[in-house]
Amino acid sequence: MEAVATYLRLQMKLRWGSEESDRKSRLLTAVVSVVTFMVILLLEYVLIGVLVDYFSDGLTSEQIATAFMTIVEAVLTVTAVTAQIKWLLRPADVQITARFPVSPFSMFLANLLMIYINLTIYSAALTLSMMGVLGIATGMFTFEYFLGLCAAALIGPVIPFAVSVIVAVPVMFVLNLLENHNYVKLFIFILGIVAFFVTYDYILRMMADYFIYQRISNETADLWDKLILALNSEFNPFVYAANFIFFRDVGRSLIVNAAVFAVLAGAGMTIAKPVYDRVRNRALEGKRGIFNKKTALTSDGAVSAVIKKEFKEIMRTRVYAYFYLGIAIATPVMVFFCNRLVKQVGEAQIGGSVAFGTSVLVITAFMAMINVFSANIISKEGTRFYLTKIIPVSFTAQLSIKSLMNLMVSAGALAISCFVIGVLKFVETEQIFVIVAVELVMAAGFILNGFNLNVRHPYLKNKANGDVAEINTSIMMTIGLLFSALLGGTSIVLAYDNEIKLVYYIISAVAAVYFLVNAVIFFTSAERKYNSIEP
Amino acid sequence: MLMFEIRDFSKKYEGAKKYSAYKINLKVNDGEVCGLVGSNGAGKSTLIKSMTGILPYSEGTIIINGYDLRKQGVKAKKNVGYVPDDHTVYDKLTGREYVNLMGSMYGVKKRQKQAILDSLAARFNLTHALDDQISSYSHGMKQKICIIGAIIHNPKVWVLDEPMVGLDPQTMAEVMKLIREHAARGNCVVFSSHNLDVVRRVCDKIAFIVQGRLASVIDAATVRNGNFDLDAYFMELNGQWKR
Repeated sequence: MEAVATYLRLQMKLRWGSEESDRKSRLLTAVVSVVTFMVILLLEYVLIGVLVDYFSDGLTSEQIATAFMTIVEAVLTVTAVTAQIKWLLRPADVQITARFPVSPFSMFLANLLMIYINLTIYSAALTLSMMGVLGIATGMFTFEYFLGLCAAALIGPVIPFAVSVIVAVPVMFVLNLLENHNYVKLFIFILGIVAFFVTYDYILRMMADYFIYQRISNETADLWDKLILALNSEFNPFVYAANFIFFRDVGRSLIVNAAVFAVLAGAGMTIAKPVYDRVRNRALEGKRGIFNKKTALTSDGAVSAVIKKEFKEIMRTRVYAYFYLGIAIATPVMVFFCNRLVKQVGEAQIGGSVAFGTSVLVITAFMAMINVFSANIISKEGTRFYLTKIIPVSFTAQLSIKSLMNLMVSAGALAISCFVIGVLKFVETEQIFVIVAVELVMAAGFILNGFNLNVRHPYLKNKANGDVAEINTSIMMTIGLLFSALLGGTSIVLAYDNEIKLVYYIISAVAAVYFLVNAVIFFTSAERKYNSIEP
Repeated sequence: MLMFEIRDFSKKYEGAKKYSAYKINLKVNDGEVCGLVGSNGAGKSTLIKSMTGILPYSEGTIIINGYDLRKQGVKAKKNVGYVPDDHTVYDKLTGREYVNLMGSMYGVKKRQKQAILDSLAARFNLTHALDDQISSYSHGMKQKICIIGAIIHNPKVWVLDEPMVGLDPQTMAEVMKLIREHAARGNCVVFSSHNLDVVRRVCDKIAFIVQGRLASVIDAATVRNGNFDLDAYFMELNGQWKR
């Protein structure tokens, strides 16, 4: 048991131990955290307020709270499954821990405990914030309610944890089956993005209905009521955590939680322990042979060789670049949903002339998003940066090749997006051509801006996969969103005054100037700056 | 024929007070193997990284097969093959993909790539792993694929930074043989090493770097025929030899 406790303490230190930082940055972090938390609470309050208004008077506050607690429990279950896979089934520290004079079972147990502690913290944060806000929104927040929330937060992780012990194993098997099937994973990822946007669109349209048109669709309200009642059924195991909020059926709820935990966790342990042993052994043996692909040698020139290499790296890395490739492919779908939503809101406020401006706003934002990682083009190389310096291809040529690749992806996403909004008659044909021209120039501007930024502030300490989400990418994202607001906002405002031709000139001029400024900076100073980088 | 020349080369890192390399002059002819020897932090890697174009420098001139590295960087780099000390490569690629990429960067055609890869992979006993992702390679295997990638274009100047680290004895012997063969084909090789035995056996000339300065260049033949005690000289240069 001592070994378990020691390992547990070590993990806690690694996860939550404080890093050396000065007082100023600690204070700044604290302020940012508090502000972020307050914003989240406010958003929760607004969203929950709208949802609660959708429910009919026939539902009690307890029924609504039970349904919400089920959402908290569902989130905890997903978190628990992810944690199981990350810490137990794909342990990164297995090479180190295997050297300790500790049995694999102790490690297994310590990891499980770590997951449970982690889950309890998530449970407390989620239950107290979300259910607390619900209590305020429904007017049932009292001291007793708060005590009930604390009890529910403590009991909350029990069933999600037990479920995750069983579910994590098949999930991991599926993930292992997909290992190195990069196109399948990309496809699933894109489906996920689309599903997210469909949900997002649904919720936002519902809120737009509520705030702008002051209407609640009967169909939607009925659906919500039915859902709430279903979630209050005794067959929903999460009801037994929600019961603690109101101190109802406490004895029975405890027994149910304990019984479900005993059965699921017992079964889960029986399944997970041998899997853990196998996974651990596999990890100890190394990754040899994890990826094997027969390829032919080619007579490629530098351009196609670099493009192929970049593409292979993106597909095999599964980090940010992969994520952004997914976004690029899913852009037309997202543009469609965003356009429909913004048009719906805009038309109510401004009128039909808003369509062109909203399209520019949305597409510029996505062009920025797709190209944000151009600000990581040098940092991405990390410790392999020297390779870009020894090859007999000038830096300008290397980056031109990479920008061509980014531009190809942007152009593809743009073409399909414009086809979608054109076919659905969101905008006129003439406007489509303006959008394509302006957005292609903007995409090129974003790419060059990203390069210029990164060549001045490279970060080369990262190893292997290379992708780092650093300050450069955040800056590029901010610049992109500002341009989106500037171009889209100008188009919306001026189109309202029927000055559409003027809009074309202004946004074209802004895009051209942005591109030219960055092109001049790139072609006059980037090579010199690059050569002065000392890896 | 002069293949590689360093003239009055000095290098100071950004923000540093001292030079890491100062007023270095060195010439290597075709057919020659030159060993750079020095203690840790002496400036060998700085020199090697500068002569391959990785580090910028503002003082002195580096000429590679007639091309000034600073003024004709791309042409100069076409004549260089470099093996780094930490064998960092694109480890998401397979060994074959990496060699293919490096060959393409230097404009090597498929047939030449095939011939060199087949021959070197067989010599290094790496054929079985060429289609495995490099991230699954051991330390030594990564070093081998780096070496293959560095000479796939048959460079005039082959530069290696600590090439023997992590290699098994058989591969070490192969690398030493390869270095000699490469030089014998009318090229030149410059490599750094802490292993004085390897330097003694492979080099034609040995350059000693002490605290960023080129202390001396000696003919390796005098070492091999027993007229010069390399180990004693090295210790003496670094102030650690007590008679």
